Amino acid sequence: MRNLIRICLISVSLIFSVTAPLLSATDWQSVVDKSRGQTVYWNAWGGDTRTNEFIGWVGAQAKTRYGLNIKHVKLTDTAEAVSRVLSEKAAGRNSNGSIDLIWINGPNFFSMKRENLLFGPFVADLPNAKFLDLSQGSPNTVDFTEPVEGLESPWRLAKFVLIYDQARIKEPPTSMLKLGKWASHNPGRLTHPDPSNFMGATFLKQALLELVSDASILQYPVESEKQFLLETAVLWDWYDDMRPNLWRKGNSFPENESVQKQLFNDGELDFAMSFDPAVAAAGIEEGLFSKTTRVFVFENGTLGNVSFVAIPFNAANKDGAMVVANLLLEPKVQARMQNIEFLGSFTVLDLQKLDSESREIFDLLPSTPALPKIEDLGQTLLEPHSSWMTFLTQEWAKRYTR
Amino acid sequence: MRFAFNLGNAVQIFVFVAILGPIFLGLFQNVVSVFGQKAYLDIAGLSANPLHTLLSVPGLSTAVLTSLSTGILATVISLWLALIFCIIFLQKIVKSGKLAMITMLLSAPHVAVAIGLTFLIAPSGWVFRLIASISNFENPPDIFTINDPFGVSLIAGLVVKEVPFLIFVIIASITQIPVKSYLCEARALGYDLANCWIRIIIPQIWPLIRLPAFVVLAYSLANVEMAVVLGPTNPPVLSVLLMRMFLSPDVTLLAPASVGALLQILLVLFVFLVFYLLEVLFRFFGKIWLCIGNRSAIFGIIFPWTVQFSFCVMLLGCFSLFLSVVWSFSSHWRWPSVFPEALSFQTWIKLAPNLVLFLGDSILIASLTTLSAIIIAIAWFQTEKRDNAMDGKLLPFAICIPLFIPQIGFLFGLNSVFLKTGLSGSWFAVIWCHLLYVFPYVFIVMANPWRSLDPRISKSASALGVGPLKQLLFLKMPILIPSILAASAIGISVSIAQFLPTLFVGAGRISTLTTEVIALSYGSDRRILGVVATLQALVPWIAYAGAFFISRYIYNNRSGLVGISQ
Repeated sequence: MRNLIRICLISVSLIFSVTAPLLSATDWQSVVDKSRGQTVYWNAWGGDTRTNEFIGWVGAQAKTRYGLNIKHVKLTDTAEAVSRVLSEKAAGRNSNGSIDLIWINGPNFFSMKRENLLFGPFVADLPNAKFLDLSQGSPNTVDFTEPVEGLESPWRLAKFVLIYDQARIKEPPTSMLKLGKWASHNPGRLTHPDPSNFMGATFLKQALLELVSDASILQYPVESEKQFLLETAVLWDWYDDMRPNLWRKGNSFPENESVQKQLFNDGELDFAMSFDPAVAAAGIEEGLFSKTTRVFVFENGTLGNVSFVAIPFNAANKDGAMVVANLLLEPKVQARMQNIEFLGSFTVLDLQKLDSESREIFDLLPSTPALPKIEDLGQTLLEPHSSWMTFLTQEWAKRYTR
Repeated sequence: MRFAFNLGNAVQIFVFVAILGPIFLGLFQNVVSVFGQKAYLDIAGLSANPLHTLLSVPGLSTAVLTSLSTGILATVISLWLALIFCIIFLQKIVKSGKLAMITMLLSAPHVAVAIGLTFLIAPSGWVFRLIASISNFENPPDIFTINDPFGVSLIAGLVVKEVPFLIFVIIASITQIPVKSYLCEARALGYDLANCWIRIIIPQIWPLIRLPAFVVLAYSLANVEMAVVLGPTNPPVLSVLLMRMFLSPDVTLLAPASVGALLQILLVLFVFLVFYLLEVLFRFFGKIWLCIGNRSAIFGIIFPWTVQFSFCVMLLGCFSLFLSVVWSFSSHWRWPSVFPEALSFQTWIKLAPNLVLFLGDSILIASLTTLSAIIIAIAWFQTEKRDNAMDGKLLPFAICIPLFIPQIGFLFGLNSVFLKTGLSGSWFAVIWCHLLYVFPYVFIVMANPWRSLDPRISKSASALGVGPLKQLLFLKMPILIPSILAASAIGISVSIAQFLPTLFVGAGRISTLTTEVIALSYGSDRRILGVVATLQALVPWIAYAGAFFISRYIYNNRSGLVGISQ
């Protein structure tokens, strides 16, 4: 018995030493107390109804449990929020800003961090951070190679998947090269969103990861234009070969992933792309896709990243925003998020760190044939440094926009 | 007299400060941000000079060219169709079902029409489903029926939306010309109907509709909503290209995008100049052509065909809107089904809690904006000096400047100014911003009836010792109620449709039906799009229908007033 207690104590102290909370339990209580009655303006992309409904549900939870309100400001593009905070800073509005919490990652996070537009570090202060794997180099601590440094708190996993219909395609291609070959046999049935959109850029990054001679260089900033052109020559050769076989002969591209999904749904395309592994299952549930729609990944893995929430430096309701970020990490909330009946997005929690009761909730989540198991999603490839994306989209435009 | 002069000046100064102040502040802020931008991202190949960065954006020249071609062609075609439609149906237009069709398209926001059109003409749209059901081809054809590189579908969309607006404007101005007596004289001289119009009436209509025509031109050249749905994609038209830059995660593109917004303004001004020069040319050669006096038969042949065509255009528009409604009620409707597989209310029920919440705010903002616009306009008409050329031509043109300037170009800057003054995110700021767009329309709609009000009425009243305020309330207002109602309907529909001003200046704190709707429409569910487009078209349509029925009710036993106001 005494040994057991000792082990518990040791493990508790271990956990604390890893996450190194800046706030004690009483301090956190004061954050919760101050948040009571606040209205948290959560700026989050509003194009997905299931996500919107989930955010609405989180709002109801926050109301009953903490007495705080969440107002979902539906963005058409996360960059809207970034430029809003930027212009607030430029105008000297250093407190009482209009945004309390942003759903963010990648280039938008990079922009905000570089411009010192973020509050924090705050992640380690969240009591529920103990359920996260925050060890050095884990996906929760690096966002598109940019160290998170506690400035944003994870809430859902994103993984690049392709959508197809089993009734049309028996065996989906297992790599980008094979996808290109597939297009040459099926001209006009494949495309990607415009690379000015992040999903279009992701398609190019995924191809580059597969084709580049040494993928590790992508983890560092682009050194020079010369280096970039040298390393990406193989990508452009491949793309030039494939382009005439793309939808509309590669002369026009869907504006974003939603338009592409719609084209897929209309039978104009045989593949669509998404960062949400549950997209096929959710689409079937909503009556959008046919029942035989599935997702697949490439055999060598696909790009993956974590969606975070961040608090702007001038947020009016920082306490409330932290409480919401913490609430999002609650095992029950995460389990509902992973439940295909509601959202179907994979959890960011480290299931090993949960108690058996919480883990059981995850084990008992319903499944549907269209929902991949997390082990079916294969290896997760690391996002390249943001500068590669910038160069890729610019070079693509230079080559193919006339 | 002296007093009236001063009051008039005060009103005008107030209007200019209220309407043009924000525009110039925003633009100024824009220029400042362009030149004050610090240079980061100094990696090879990336220039810190905003102008240089903008010019090196691939496809910029194509974007500018397609902007020009789609904008100019759409305007010219719309004008031609609208004019001929009015010529043929002049006498019958008000009483027939055509009016319902026109108001329906007139009230529907551009984005709703664009979405409806894609439902109809996209390769997987209704037309091709119909064809597929007959000829049995498996997949939608891989062809450009929307988003074509030359912008043909964009032109079609703009024409569908602008023809009804121009018809509305032309009907209002035709009443100022003694059309019948001109026609009698010309026909007595042996010209056919078509030639009478072309030679005599249209040259007189043009000065009256020049301003609204320029509004259409500016919109067609710089709109984002329609271009993003129907326009070319690689590269898109200039406005969409700029929007992509403004919305890029890379904040260093903000400065080049601001330069681009200035370029967009120059583009609009350039086309205005070209149109003005064309007008001068037409006036010169038109006179010679008139004097030659030949009786060409060609117009008599073209006209009936053109009218059939404009009919088709409007039917196309209405059918598109109808398809949106059908989509909103369908639960499954996949390629290649011509009809929905099942109908249900599920999408409406699912979205209702969201939309009802914002509907109230939208209507409140729209009403307050329209009310203030009407009050300001009446103050203007009460105090303006008619004999002054400045008042007659230049000032109304100046008021319309907000409609000529691409929104994204100055709203970003304007919001910075609002932030500094603590106005950003307030209701006041949002209503003010809506006013910039509502006021010009209200002004255009009210100007002709108010100015052509028989001056003898007020002279008689003055002679009888009735003061200006009493005259306004008990004489002018009752006579001009239809113009006020029409202005309210247009004002409300313009305010309801505003997206970017609400978004930027409302700071996300103030949400309206349209901000909600556009955020949702970035998803990929056609049924939601259907609900969205239907609602967006429905609310302004109710405003129009309301205006129509109220004025009909009021005039029910005052039929003599109709003649005075027109």
